[in-house]
Amino acid sequence: MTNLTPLLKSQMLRRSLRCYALGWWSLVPVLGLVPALLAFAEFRAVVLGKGNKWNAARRQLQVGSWLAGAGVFLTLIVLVIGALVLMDS
Amino acid sequence: MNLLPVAYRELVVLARRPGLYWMRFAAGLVVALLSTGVILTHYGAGATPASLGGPLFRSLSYCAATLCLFAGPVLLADSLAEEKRAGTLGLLFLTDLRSHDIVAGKMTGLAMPAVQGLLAILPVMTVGFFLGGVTGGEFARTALALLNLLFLSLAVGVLCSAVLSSGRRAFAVSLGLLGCSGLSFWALEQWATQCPPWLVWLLEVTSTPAAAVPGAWDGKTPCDLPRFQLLLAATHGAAWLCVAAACVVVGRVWRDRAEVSPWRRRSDGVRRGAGLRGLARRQVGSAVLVWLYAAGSVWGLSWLGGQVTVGNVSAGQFVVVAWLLHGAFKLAVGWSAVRALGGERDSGALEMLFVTPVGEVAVWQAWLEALRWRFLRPALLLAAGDIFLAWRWSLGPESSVEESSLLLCVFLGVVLFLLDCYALAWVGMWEGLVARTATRATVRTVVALLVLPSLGCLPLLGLLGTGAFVPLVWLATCVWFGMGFLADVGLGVKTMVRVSDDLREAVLRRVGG
Repeated sequence: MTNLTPLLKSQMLRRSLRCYALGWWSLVPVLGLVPALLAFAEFRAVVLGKGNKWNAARRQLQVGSWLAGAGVFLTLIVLVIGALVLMDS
Repeated sequence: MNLLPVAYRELVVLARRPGLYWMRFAAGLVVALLSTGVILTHYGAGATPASLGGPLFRSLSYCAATLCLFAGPVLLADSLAEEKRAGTLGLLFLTDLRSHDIVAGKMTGLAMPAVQGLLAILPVMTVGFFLGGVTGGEFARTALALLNLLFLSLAVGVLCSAVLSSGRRAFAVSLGLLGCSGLSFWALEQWATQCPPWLVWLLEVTSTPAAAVPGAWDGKTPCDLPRFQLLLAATHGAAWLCVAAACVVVGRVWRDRAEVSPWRRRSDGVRRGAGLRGLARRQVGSAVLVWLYAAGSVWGLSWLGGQVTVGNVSAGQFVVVAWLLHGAFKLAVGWSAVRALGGERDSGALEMLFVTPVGEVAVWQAWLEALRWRFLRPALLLAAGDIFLAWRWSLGPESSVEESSLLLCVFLGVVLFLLDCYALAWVGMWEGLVARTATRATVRTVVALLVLPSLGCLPLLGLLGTGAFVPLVWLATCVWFGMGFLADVGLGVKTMVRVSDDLREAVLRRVGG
């Protein structure tokens, strides 16, 4: 976990913005699980690899991860409702 | 007795903290939410006001008793210990103050938030009385038992603070002592007929403080007044004993202690590695106890699962024991995380580390790695044990649709358990750094990640449960998982960004403040 290679500033910004974009994609129910996992991976890489550099896209990074969490939650609700309908039938 | 100077000073400090007023508001809000959940859960076609009043009153009494039990460790565990660490306890003895003045002054001043919180809860409890199903005597006896319990909790808190010089240890020990009482009461309720007489006697003695609150109620038969008075007197006597012991101890323990032996320091260094990583592992603590706890929990749950199959233990009791074991593990994670950087900050070592070429990133990564070294594998062992038990149970000869769906419920619980541990490590580390005391940091971490999501479930569960179109176990598991997941992701993400970006500013702000 702690031995990630340090990121260049450009990489850090690009990956933060990628996390933001993937966060929006993860709001698609069920199919959004893959972008959500990718968003979390980008988030983790930036947090652990940014070092002392200032991240201008900090807010996008944070919002992207929150959106990914909301996407996973949405998918979970859809799956639970689907399972209940199946059990009921 | 000259307790006024100390009590006045503590009250003035307290009155300037906005947290006091928020705490009062929060106590009222929590019981109001709980009341809503209880009323919605018990509301049905055949419900009458009298049938709602009893359950509402009893639920709120349990909630108030839990808050009373927590009050002493939270408010008083660091009261005398802080003075000892700062070296100001000895200075107090240079004035005309005696040890009982200091103990009584601290208790009077710092107990005020708890007393005010209880006063905010009691009016909500009268709703049960006005709905019916609760008598005036029952309400008065419960209020008396709660006040008595609060006094004992505060006394235990101040005693532990007097004996131990570390606020965190005092908090843990006092919480453990008072928690034992609650657990003994629950164990006695569940397994009184199956335990040997000596164990029943032991459980009755240790559960005395917690048993006084339910002992005040009228059940199918009226309250057993002599027994209630005995429980009340025993609790009160124990509280005064603790206060007296604290008075005796505080005059003797304020002096400096000898340093840790060089042999022990060297053996620690060899065992856990040198450098920053070794230092972090030394500060976080040994992993052996956590491994033993995880292995013991898996074994205990496996044994209890066998008892459920035989029919000696109900499934509900099994779930409560599993929940308690996992909750204790999560508390240990939060506790260690708070200690991780908080201890270094208190000793001033963190600022020293920051001015070296090591830098803050290496520091927080080393402490995070130490937490992972201590807790990750035992947590995985516990999670794997849960999944294996649920899988074996669902394949049993008496397997049904409900038992098959159990596997999915356990899987969701295990995912949430691991997520909780991860989020607790980050949030605890940050709170330990920015909060005024370690106790406050622990409480904030645990309340934000574990208590509030669980409390938030109750009204939602009540609202959804009234429709009764979904099996309740499914519904409870999904709502609980959803709330916990949102809290973990929301707070975890925010804290990870803060730790990686603002750590140095947070430490410098503390130094400046």
